[in-house]
Amino acid sequence: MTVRFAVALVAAVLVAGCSTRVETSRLDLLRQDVARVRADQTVARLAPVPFGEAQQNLQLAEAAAQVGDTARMDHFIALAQTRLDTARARAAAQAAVEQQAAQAQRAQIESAESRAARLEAELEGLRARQTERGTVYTLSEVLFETGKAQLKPGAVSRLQPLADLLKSQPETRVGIEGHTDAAGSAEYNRELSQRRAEAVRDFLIGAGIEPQRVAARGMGEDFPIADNESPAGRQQNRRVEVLVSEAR
Amino acid sequence: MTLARPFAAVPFAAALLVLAACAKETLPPVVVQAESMVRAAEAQGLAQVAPDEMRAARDSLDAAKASANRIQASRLAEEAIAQTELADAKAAAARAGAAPIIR
Repeated sequence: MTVRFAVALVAAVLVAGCSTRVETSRLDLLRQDVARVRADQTVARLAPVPFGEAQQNLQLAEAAAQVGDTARMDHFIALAQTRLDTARARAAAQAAVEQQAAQAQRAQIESAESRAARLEAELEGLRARQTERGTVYTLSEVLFETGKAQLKPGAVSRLQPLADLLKSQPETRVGIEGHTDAAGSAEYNRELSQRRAEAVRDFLIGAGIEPQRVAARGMGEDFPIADNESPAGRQQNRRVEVLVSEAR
Repeated sequence: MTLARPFAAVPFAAALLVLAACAKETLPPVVVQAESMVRAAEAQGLAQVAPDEMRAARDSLDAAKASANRIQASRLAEEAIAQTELADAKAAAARAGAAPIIR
């Protein structure tokens, strides 16, 4: 009888020991899991709430284990594990959202850069020079039919880059000066150059430039940039100059 | 007076019965909260995105409602809530196009 009792006692001690080891090992696994997530920092940063709850649940499981409340410990181990998984999922979602936002921002920057580069390339088609009065863009006569002040359909492709540039510089003022060659009377040429300057002004206003920023003047034949004797020289003199200056 | 005495015990007994009935019927608040969350999640279709988690949540909730032990019922309800939150997080990750979560 005594031997039986001793065997039973030893068996009970062994079972209890095994049980404690199992509990300890489950807690250890959870501790390791929490430590791994904490060391990674991504989950803790992107999903602080569920990760904080998981840590809290781990502490409660440890406290329950200390007082031998297995049911309570099991409960908090299960909760901690689920909340760790929740933290991982939330962090993954947040990381994906941040990545998409960064991609969208990069695309936006690239698009703006490509727009700026395109605009710059288009403006290279206009002859620009710096003067004391500001930047002068010279548009040749290809904007108009001979003797007319109506813009040719193809003129839009020349003027649109200029309009885009002016829109990107809202603090500037724009002076449009029409010039002719010396063929015809001075009066006719002045009137023609005025109407041509106004046609360019109207286009820019139509393209979104504020009317108060734009002034048009006909200069006639008085400011040639080449001789009026040769066809090539006269062609150069027939022009519209757009002066862009800082608003005072 | 002798007749009144037995009848006087009737309201007392009725009150006891009502209290007993209430004690049996009233669910712990966390079970009510879990039921509301699980139902809302099911209505949102989370069972399609995170079927395992939603099944676990539903099982825990049903067990909580069936349990006569209020402490056990509360624990099961807390686990149902945690599973529902996990399902919701997994749905958010899927919506955001996140890579599968590796434990």
